[in-house]
Amino acid sequence: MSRYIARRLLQAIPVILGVTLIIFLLMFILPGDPARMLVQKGASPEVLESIREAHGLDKPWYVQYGKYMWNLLQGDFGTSIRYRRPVLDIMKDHYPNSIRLAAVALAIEAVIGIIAGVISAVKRRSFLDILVTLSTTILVAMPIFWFAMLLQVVFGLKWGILPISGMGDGSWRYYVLPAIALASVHTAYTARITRSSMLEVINQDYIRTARAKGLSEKKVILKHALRNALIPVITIIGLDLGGLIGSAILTETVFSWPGVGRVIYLAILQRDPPVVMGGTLILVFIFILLNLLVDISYAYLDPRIKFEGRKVD
Amino acid sequence: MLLEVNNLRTYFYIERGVVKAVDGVSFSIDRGETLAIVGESGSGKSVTALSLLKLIPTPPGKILEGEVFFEGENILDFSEKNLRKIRGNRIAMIFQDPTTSLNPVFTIGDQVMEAILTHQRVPKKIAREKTVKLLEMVGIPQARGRLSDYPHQFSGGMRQRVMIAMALSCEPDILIADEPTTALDVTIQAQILELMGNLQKEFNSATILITHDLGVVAGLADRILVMYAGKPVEYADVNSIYYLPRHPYTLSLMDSVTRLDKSRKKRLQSIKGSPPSLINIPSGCSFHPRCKFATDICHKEVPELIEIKPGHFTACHQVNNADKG
Amino acid sequence: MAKLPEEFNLEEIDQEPRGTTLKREILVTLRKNKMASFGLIVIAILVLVAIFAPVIAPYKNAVGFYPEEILKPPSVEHMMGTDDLGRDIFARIVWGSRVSVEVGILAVAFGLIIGLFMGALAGYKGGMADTLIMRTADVFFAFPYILGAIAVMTILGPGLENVIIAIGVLEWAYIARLFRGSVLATKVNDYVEAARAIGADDKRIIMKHILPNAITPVIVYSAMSVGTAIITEAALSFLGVGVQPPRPSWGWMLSDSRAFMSRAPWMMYFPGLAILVTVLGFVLVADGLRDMLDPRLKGMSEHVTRG
Repeated sequence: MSRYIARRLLQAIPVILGVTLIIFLLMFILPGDPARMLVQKGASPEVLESIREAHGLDKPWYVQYGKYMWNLLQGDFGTSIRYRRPVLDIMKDHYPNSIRLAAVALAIEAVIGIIAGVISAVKRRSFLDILVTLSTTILVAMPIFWFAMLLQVVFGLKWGILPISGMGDGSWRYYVLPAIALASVHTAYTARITRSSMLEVINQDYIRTARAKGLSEKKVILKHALRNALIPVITIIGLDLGGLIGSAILTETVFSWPGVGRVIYLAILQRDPPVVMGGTLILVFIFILLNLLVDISYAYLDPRIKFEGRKVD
Repeated sequence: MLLEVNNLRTYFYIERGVVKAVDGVSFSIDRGETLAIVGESGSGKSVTALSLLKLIPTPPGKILEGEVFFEGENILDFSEKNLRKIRGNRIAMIFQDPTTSLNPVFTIGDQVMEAILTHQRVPKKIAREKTVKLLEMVGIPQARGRLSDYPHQFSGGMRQRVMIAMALSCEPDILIADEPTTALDVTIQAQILELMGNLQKEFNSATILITHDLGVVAGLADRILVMYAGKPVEYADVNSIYYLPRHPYTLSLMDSVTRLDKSRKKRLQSIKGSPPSLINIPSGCSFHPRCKFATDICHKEVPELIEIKPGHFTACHQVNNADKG
Repeated sequence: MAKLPEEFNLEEIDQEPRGTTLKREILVTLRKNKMASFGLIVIAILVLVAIFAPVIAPYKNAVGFYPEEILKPPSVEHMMGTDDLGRDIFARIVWGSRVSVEVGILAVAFGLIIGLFMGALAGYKGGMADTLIMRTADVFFAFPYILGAIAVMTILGPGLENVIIAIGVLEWAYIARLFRGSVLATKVNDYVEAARAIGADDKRIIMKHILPNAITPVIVYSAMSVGTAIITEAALSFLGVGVQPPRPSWGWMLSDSRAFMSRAPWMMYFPGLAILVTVLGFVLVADGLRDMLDPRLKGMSEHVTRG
């Protein structure tokens, strides 16, 4: 087990190196003059030159990359141009808010998505199934930021029953709308996958065996079928975490949620590339870590998957 | 009679039409007996077995007609709740493919125990002990240590033994085995069949053995029901079927069996043509396109199942005419 | 519902006899694919609107500043109302469709060109090429989609061309992975072996034998991706890193509408609806295509392609 985790962590290293290289290239090599990003507009050439030297920008790119990586290893994700604060500190202030929101959304996604998918599959071609299929198809095509705005208009402006901005005193009421918006599209995906997975599993021989044993339909579905059907569902929820992280930027923007997504958005508006890049990089790290956790969780769901990471047949 | 099946009809309603999977099948079986239902793929033998326990997927399937008297009660009239008390408890089933019939995500100990705990009010500990005994009985080495293993850690033959242990866990009155050895190696086949035979004697239960291979049932069955395209074509005791088969289909089935008592010089024959499409069943006798004895009447009229000798039934115009004349 | 016994395979039964099957198949496909037909109609309308934008609504109504027309609710004159600068929302939606169509088609085309080439190379050649390409793709998968696009846009700067590049740069990896898998599966087929045995060269084998068979999942995916690209463009523009004003973009329109949500909700209703219906069109067509083209997934329209 620990060997598997170690191996997966090792495998993540080239990916992380690649990601940092791309971020680095985007930030410092591709367009324009990075020194200009570090100073106010209209600085004199002498100032630029001194900044270049101070930041080692006159060195070859691989030296710069090495320095960048060295800084990263020490937790230095760069410094915000606007706030003159380390990016990591800014992120630390906002992370808890984002994680709380994402956790609520993930819970909604998993619970509602799986329940809707199971009902839809078990009661195939019923009114409920049609309802689930129709609403998930529409939600899949839904621009999440527009859905968020609709929630604001209906629940906040029209009915005035829920707050539509910020997190106020941090009470649950502030979470409702952003979490629903964030979860919406992903819940639809989960429901669709659960449905198709469930339909496939229901046709398996072992389900017939379970029925022939005299088990109640409830046990057949909730124990024998669901446990198997959940394997691909967990995969999708895992793969979808990236989507959730991406959607968080849009949702937090619409709801002015003081999270990482909003910080990145504001940094875009304020032309603060180190924050955009550092923030992105941190999110990518989290994404890679979450994927690792998802992979490990398979092994608990599906005994056929050994920790070598492949199916033994 | 322990089990009596009368005129069972199970149809499937699919987009392209109606599939008459089981079309008027009757048979009966008593304690200690073994009945073999024999037929090619698509003959409706497995659907017959599933219909007995109402395990037919509905829709598209539907049991249209028929009675299944188990100890005098028609279980087709039972509520789902009462049916569940029969399934796995009084009548148990073993399926064809042991690699797919066990749930891959539960240990085999859990799966056998589940059958016991579903039907008997016993503490978990006792169920576990019983499971160990059952697994030992079906010949799984170091049974206790293997309770927490998953199906994929067993070979096909061992998995089928687990299936048998599971089926026998509540000491059923009837064991339905649907092609229990088809997916297994020849050597393992013999072992499994022998095991089933021994266990049947031990429990004095009845066995319904479903197979496409007449050779398999020789030493096991007391009576044989031959099915073709959903209909019974011949029904008799094992000796009559083996030594005096009357229906042309049974004859050709016998030809395709490797028999140890006949000279091996004769080439193994397979039956000409392919099983009929269940959607467009041929007119008249459904076997006529493949039958070398077929005459005009075979195209037009469906032959009835007639008792040509005491206890020997067959549905063939040629046989019936011959016996009349 | 229990499984049907092996001997009783409804699918097999359903496949014969051949004569009537084809006709039935087409009928069944058409009936089942009412949704896909709806999707096709939506796409056709979108493309027509984009092409004939100048005929449908004058460009001058979509841009500029009309102080006397500010924030007018929908009326006969302005069927979707006007925005905070007095611009006609209907005209802006009509002209905004051009951005969506261009981004949707060009970004996916860009992704396809790189992705198909890389996928074919990785799948067909294997070895080092495979390792190199797929590990590079892994790096791209490590970026959550929108986040990756934002990162690229931050550096490239806003603009339609850059949006296309940003989405294409992310798309290629998904297409390459999909196509590689499908090439690997096709490569082992007998007819490919046969072609090689009679001395066909690599290029011919790929173009003639592998591509037509391996492309199916990519076609389905591409239909879906056009929808994804359109949403991504809208999201980027919404965040201010996408297409730049004055060019009308649905994402920008939604961004503009935020300040007037209570005063002029029509400002947000129509652009959002335009995005939703457009993307829905592509989702439905992708579902329909999958049902038609990929027999393995037949009838499983609940499968999600995006991944």
